[in-house]
Amino acid sequence: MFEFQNPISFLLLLLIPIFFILNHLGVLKKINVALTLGDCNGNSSFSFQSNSLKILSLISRLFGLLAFVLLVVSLANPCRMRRQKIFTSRGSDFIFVLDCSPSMAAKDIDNKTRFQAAKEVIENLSFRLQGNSFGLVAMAEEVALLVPPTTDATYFLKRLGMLEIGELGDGSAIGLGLSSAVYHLTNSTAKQRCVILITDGENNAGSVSPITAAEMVKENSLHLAVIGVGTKGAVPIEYIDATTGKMYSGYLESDFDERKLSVLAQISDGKFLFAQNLNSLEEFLKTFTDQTAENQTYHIKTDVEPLYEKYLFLSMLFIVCNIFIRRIVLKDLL
Amino acid sequence: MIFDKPVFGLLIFLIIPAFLMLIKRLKGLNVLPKSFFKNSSRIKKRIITSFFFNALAWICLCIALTSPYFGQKQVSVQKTGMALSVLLDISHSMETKDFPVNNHSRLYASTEFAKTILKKLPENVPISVVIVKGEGQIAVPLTEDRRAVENFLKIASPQLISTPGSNPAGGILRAAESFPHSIGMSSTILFFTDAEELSGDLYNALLTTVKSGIKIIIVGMGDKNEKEIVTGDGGKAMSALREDALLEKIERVNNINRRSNIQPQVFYVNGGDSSALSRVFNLVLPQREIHDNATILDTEIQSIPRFRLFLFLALIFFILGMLFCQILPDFLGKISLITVIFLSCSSENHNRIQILSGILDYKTQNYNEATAEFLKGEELADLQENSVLKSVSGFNLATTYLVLNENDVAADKFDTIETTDFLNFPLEFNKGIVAHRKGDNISAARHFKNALKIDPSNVDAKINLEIVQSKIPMASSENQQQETQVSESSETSPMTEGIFSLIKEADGKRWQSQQKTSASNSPDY
Repeated sequence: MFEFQNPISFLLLLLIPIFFILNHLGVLKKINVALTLGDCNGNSSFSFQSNSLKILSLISRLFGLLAFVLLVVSLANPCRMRRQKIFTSRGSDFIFVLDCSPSMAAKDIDNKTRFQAAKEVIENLSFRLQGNSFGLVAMAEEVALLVPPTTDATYFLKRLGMLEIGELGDGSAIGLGLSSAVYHLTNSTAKQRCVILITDGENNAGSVSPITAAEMVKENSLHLAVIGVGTKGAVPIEYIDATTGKMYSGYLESDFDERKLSVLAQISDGKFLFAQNLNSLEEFLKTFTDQTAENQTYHIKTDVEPLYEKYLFLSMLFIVCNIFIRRIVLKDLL
Repeated sequence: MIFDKPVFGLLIFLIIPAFLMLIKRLKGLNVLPKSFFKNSSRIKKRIITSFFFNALAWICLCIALTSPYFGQKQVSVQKTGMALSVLLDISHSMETKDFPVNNHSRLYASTEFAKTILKKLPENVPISVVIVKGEGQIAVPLTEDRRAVENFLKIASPQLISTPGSNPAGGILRAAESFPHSIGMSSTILFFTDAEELSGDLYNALLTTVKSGIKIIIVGMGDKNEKEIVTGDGGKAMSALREDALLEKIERVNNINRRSNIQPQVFYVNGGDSSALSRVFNLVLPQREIHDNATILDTEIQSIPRFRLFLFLALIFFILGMLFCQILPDFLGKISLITVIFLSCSSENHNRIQILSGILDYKTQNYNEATAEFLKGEELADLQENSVLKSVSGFNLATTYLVLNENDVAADKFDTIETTDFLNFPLEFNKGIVAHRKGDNISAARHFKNALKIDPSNVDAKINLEIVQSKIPMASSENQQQETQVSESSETSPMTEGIFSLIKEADGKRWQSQQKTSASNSPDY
């Protein structure tokens, strides 16, 4: 929002008409060089004879006027105000368990890979639910907590952006991924603690059964949303392995059994979605988070970004132009 | 004086060609016969005076463009709860085994110290871990997940950052960044270091961080006597706890605060002292912040921007330049008189202006500024023993807190206000609103009734009274419902315990796998 912090300074613009009135009344007088030669009309006001010089004189006056106006604008302290919510109460905790196995590179969600689509909805969600804490567990053959639940959205988004397919090997250790999220949420003081699992596959790695992990979710009173992403059939796939740097491309025969994922949601009294497009994914997460996100108290902090420097710089530029034309081109004395 | 953009100061040198041109023009005038001009010396004087004022104006404009700051002011900031950033110096010198207690390495002693402090802190205090060597890095972002923090502290080592060197300033700035802007918490950095500084500017980093309202506690680790150590590149260097140099920097920063009557914000504790733990704990968690999520009023120090002063001066000099060049002498006297009258305005009503300024800020929703203005107004009224203005400032202050949803602070403030006739009604009315927000509808109803006794015609008070009265019977059952929600003490089963220890191990392994070795010719200790 644009605002002047010192608008009373605009009263100084009244000096412009005052200047013209005083000039007209003859209070302000330029030096008239009284020549001793009688035929030069030395006592009358000087005026340029050449049209180009007349125009230059007019331009220099215009520059002077603009310089003054911009100086007054700078003095009025133009600012851009940014109002920011400062949260004074605890929000909910969300941990995303994101599958980063190579099959997530299948390009079948609205012309995006499953992995890109998942990252996009997570990003949008973290923007929408400011003040809540977000954590990230990356899951493939191995599992890693990349971000513990944090209110530092910048760090969360940076780490999410850095996550690449194939970083943790091939496979999906769903049970271990869920358990890791539970482990890092059990001691949280947030009233609502949620795990959001986004995967496209069956559990085929790790030493913990997904069923056990789902029971742990329920045992610890956490909310669980299970999202199976992707379509069935042959889908194009292309990715660069993060560890070897090799590029893989071809077709993936996608036929994962969503019933196994829905069972996890059933066990933990959670929600399940088989998402085949971005819209349904967004909608589902919106509904889920609306039900689980805490209403937080906050106050508004206003950050002020001063903008006077731009106006002042322009004003000084006009001053320099004005002086250049008057002194160098028109050879004014004063 | 500090300049944000000093490079614009170079524009001042444009005066030099202008000055040379002036000399040339004046010489040009000398060439003409004296009889050519009437009063030629007067014209020269006018030219020189005009140049002088215009040059002054130009200098002022250039200074304004550099964004000058001088002087400091305190700004009141509301904070709820506290956040802590543990900053660990992981440079190679921290591996020296000279910690006075048990001869542990400085780094090991630091992590053990940090763990002990963390165990004593309430669970809802979010913590971040930042590590610093040649550069600072956020290792664990601000989180309540103590498991992630403790798992990291176990594996902290110089191999986690490949950039060689020791840059405590970079660490301080990174730790300050680890507090998100969207949290209104009282922030503290707990820095474990031996104060070996090979790069960066620690003094400026401390100053910048303190100015943004962050408290810094530095815990010195190691022995003050030098010891030969092996550096990261395999060479040898002498290392010790550089306490004196560190204390000198801390003193300089704190002196700046003292000059503005602000409490010091940088503290030093020698980690080897027997009372170090309790001293650090008391500094990390002062008594006032022990209550969960208590709202406190903290102060931030802000440098005062002065560009407007220089712009104003520039404008005056330009006008003076023009007057001396163009205006008639007798008119100058009149202008001067008006200027003197204008400038000699009395400052008797300073506190009224303060309140007015606060109201303007309030109306434009700059509530933090408004709070500061009303606080100053109240202080001034107190000094002048003006009870009416004190009550008005206090009332405005409390109302601002109310708008900011700081109900407890607002309620306390309303209770301390001395009533005057014209404040009786709004005071009772606002007290009613605070009580309602705090869920005490019985008190709210009483306050609205009191307000109606003072002004029976007020419709808003009548409506509010009806609303709170309708909620009184429901209140008790709602409270019962809320109590069941929060604490769920989970007794974990042996299987869950087993899985958790598996994950704990995996987290530790992952951190260790991120260790790197540095390859550089820069000093690395």
